[in-house]
Amino acid sequence: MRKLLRLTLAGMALMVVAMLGTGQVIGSTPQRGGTLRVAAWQEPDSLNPFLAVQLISRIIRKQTLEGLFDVEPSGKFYGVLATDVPTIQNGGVSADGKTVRIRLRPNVKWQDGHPLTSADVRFTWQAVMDQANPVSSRAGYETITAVEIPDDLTVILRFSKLYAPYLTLFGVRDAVLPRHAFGGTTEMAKHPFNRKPEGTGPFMVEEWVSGSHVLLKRNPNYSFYRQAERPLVDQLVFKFVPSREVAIAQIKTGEVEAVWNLIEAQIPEFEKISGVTLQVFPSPNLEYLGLNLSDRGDPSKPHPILSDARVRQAIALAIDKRVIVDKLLFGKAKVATSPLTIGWASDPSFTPSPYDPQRARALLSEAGWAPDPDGIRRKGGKRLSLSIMTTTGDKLRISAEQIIAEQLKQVGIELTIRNVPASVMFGNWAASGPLKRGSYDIAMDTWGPDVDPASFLRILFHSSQIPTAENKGVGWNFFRIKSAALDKAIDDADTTLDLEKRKTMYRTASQAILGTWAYIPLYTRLYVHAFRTTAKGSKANAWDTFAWDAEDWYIEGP
Amino acid sequence: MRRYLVARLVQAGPILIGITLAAFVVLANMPGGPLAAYRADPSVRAEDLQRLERQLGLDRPIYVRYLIWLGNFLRGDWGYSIVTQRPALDMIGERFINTVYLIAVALGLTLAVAIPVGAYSAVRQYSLFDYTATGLAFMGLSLPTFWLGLLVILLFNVALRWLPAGGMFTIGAPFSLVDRVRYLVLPAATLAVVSAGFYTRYLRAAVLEVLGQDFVRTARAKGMAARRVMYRHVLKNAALPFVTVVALHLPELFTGAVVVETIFAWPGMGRLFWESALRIDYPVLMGIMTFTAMAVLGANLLADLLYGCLDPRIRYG
Repeated sequence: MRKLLRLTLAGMALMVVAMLGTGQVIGSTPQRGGTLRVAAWQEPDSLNPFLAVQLISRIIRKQTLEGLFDVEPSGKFYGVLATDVPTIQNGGVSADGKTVRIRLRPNVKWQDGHPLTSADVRFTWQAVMDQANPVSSRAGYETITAVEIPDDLTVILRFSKLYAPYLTLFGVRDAVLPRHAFGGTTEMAKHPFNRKPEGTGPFMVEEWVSGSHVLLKRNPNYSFYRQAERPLVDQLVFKFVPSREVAIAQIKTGEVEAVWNLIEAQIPEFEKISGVTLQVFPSPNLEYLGLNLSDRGDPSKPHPILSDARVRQAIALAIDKRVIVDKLLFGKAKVATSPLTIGWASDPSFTPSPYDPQRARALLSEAGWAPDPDGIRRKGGKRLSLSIMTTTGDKLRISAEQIIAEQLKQVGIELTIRNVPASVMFGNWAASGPLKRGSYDIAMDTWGPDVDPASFLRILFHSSQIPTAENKGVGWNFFRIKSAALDKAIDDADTTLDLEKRKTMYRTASQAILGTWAYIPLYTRLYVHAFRTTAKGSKANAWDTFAWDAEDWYIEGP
Repeated sequence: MRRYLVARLVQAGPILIGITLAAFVVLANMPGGPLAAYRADPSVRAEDLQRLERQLGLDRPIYVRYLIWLGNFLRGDWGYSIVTQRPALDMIGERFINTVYLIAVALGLTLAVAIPVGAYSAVRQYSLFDYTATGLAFMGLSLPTFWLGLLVILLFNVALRWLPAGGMFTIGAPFSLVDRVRYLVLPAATLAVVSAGFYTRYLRAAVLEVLGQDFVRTARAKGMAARRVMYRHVLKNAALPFVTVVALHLPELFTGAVVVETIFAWPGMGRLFWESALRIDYPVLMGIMTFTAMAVLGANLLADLLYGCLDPRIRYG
């Protein structure tokens, strides 16, 4: 009984944390000073936002480099280096959406004291477009034809065509670069800046010791426009550890104060550790099943079993997602409903597909798959046997596969597990990646939208994104969904900047995606971060990276 | 002697080139490739990937890429990391020092244990000491480093809180010898346990063999003190094969360090290799592999030369 009470209390505490999205104890006053250490089990590739692709790189360089705009926990954009968010309503964006006028915040200084000006924004665009630079993505920047700078604090972006996610440029994914730090060149591939960037943010990179850590110190020139006297800690350290397990060991012993990106299955273990507080909140990512509509051997032909929509629907109805959430995720996650689970574009009115094995059996019989004494249905001598694939080495996923296989067996479908390493599963066309080539039956994976779902929905579900030999395997529509209505909804949403209109189109798109039964949402993934109870001040933000508000973090003194 | 050395070094050339070719072909055919991380990022579009492949020269055939790499390498240019865009030689160099530091201490620990224990075990063959030493040596030999490493972390870090779990020094703190030693103990000891077991067994066998030789019996028969027999005749002769084995096994310590460095977050070459392998950063991997191949060849040569020094009967002409 006492154990039950303790469990209930722990659960309630966790819920409070999850709801408030903060590890902050009400009533404690922030204090300045000290060093806060974060364990990271990856080392950044580069701290230049345009060259780096790893998430840890973004987390660290965001302490130093800032952008024009960023995203609040609610999913709303706010100005960082820009004074406000330009829209058609406030006149910042022209009626045709092709001209965007941005006002920069006055009196912002780079860490060396240089003033931030519009020339820095123009330089950033020039550097991204420099042919010599191995920039990871030019999406959006290519659409800009000119960056005009009528005065030091005004930037005018001229687009060749309307670019719906225009607010994500120069900030959400990347940043504004200091022109003066590059010394007159836009070539940045091998520039020392990539290891020691200079920015306008709360911290400065003091040192980066390979294989060991990045040490950041308070930036005396930080303009703390949001709140005075930031950052609160003197030093922020990102310590590179070899694995998540080591990171966990180190937060237990107090060798670090924070660990980011734990997995849901670790929550119960952490609830038992004293001195550690968890920050748990829903992410935009969700775990789903992808069903292959085309033949395993020849993607130009339909799949012998899964091309029948009744079979696909039967699979969806035969899976009790609640069991996965309750058994494997300790009830911490939610059953997923649609591709867009949170954010401005999501629609809360979607409901999960019901668990209905009776109806699943009826659908299979209707599709001609008759029950057989051995328990697996047959049609013309052919067994209803499929394989499921996910990445190896993930215990949660393997357990989920086993539950799904067991549930499908109940309705007469045989499911064999054939997992491969992530590098194989997501391999490109030339490497014969099974998703790209369509040589799989059912795939289990996690994916989710950014704050603007445009690229997520297009790359996964638009018919132009079906990988083929002709297009050299471009795109990730590995389900091979071809739906004119879906394509239209995705395309239409890219032709307007009106968020309400786009939301309606994305609702149509979500409905069309669910209607194919080729994409079966299982559960929403959670973001789980851990802090020593003495490290306070962090707020949850599903749309920004971990440590987005590190300037507000503080160490509670003895 | 000089001629012998030159001949050996000339022989090493084709072997090295063969190794680099094999390594390159394997790396170039690894699934995923160096751009796998980009492919997982939805903001990186197909046109971006094509541009990156062109910019990084990954669109060229394997043999062209290999010849370019080899040409640059022979001129002393180890290429640039695909992941960090830094010179591979710089990345390897800054880590190599840390690895040598770890390995040197581990080897010192190993020999400090293996030589006295091995020799004493042989002299007191089938004694309680010998049995205990043999038992412990086999235990050490059979413990996988990854398991032992995790175990000592659990014990000395998580449970007892005596020593730090990983890293080389306390970040942000001023230099202190005590601090360095605290971080060094666990990884060096883990590496040492396994090789100490091996060397103990080896030295025991070598000493036993010499103990049975006629000249030892003669030395004893003419009344030489047991201690003197041991130092002057037995150990000196047993050292011959032992030194060879130690020299030949030096590169193996590097490979053992891959695991230990990864477990103890040691910023060494082994961990760089592991991280680069995950990212298929082939210029760095090629650099480390070629470097290791050179170390193996060098260790072989060193063993042969030491042999000549220790045994006046062996001369290279």
